[in-house]
Amino acid sequence: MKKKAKVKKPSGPKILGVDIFVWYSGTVAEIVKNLSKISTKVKPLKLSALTNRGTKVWPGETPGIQMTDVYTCRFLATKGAASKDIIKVISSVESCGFNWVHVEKLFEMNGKPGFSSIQED
Amino acid sequence: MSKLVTLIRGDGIGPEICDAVQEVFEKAKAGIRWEGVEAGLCAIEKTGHSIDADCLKTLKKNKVTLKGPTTTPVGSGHRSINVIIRKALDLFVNLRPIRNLPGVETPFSKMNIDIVIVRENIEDTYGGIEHRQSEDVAQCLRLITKSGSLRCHRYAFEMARREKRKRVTCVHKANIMKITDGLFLESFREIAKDYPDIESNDIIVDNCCMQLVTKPNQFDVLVLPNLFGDIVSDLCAGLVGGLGIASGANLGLDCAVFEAVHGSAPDIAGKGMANPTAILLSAVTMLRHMGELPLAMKIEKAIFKTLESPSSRTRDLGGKASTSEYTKNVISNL
Repeated sequence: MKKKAKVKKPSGPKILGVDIFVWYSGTVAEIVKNLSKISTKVKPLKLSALTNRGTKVWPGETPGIQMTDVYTCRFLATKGAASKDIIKVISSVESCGFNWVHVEKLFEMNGKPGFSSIQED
Repeated sequence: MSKLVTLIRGDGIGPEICDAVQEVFEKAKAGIRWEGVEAGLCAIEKTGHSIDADCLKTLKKNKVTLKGPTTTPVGSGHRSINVIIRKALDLFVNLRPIRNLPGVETPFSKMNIDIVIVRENIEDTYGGIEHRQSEDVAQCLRLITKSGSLRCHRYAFEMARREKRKRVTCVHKANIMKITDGLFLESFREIAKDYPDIESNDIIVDNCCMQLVTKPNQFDVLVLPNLFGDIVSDLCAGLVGGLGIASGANLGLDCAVFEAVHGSAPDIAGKGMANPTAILLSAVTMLRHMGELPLAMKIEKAIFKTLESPSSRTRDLGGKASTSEYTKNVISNL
């Protein structure tokens, strides 16, 4: 009987957060209002920004750009998070009724964020 | 006419070439009132931001902006002002007219090159959405939307009809990126149906580049997604003399920003060596946008007449004129 191949465990860089892409046709205010309801459930992660096609639409003034129907919700943890925390956030986002379509973990690589910053000057 | 236009003088050679525009416009009795705002290195020094919210409010209020080149400090964490402005004002089209200029000799001078490049200006890889997925893998998300593609193509066809152009060509790589560029091409074909008076076709981007450097005069209007548009528009600028004479416009539904395509050239700043042709031609495009067609034609003719005389040109074009002498030559040719 063949031995089951072991999955090589990744070296595990620090997880700083997660980008969750949701397919939603409503307003930015609606997304923020709904996601604020899960703020206690998703600790140590916290909603830090919403973007649309890479442009920041929250917090702060929502620019008058043409929006598409996929928003990126960026959750960050100040002191890092575990994979199970990320799964909890995804589950909580779904429980709010959002159709999440894509997820990217936000790693720290070689002491630096391994992801683009939210686009603001 | 007395219209208010925002002026971003920019960094490096920006202020001196903007001076040239203001002088030429004043002598041409253009009747433009300029509202200057600071953006770029000078703004970073004062506020820590390359462009602040008040500045963007002014751009939105006046709707039309002329912008000199600005420097984005490398590795400083500051984003390109151009990208910030495009996104803040939703300037979804980048327009680059490409044509031979009198007195500017290139291997293609004898061909009648007259191309307009319409580049989608917001989407594609320019959302800057990047992630490291492992020690080995980095990815950049390429977003193409149907709504963004449709409005870009609509603009291209409307412009083609307005300027009595014959053909619009969609440039893409849909043979490989079947979903993203497939959507861009599908949207193009959808819009093309509304313009039976204008011929439409498409071409793979690599073939397009090869055709451009062999038979550039076969093209009329090109419409491209953002990244290909960025590359191809500079390639086309090279066909007619380089970025030093290339004009450009960023256009949205409400606002428009006209700019020289070249950089701020800090090494020659303040030495009177800068060539203001590109920003002057951008300002001419701005006048056309504002409906000032006779005035635009008058200034454009003066620029062309100046370029025809070798001694009137700036050094980069083989002449001996300083920035201010070139400006005086344009004024005397008005």
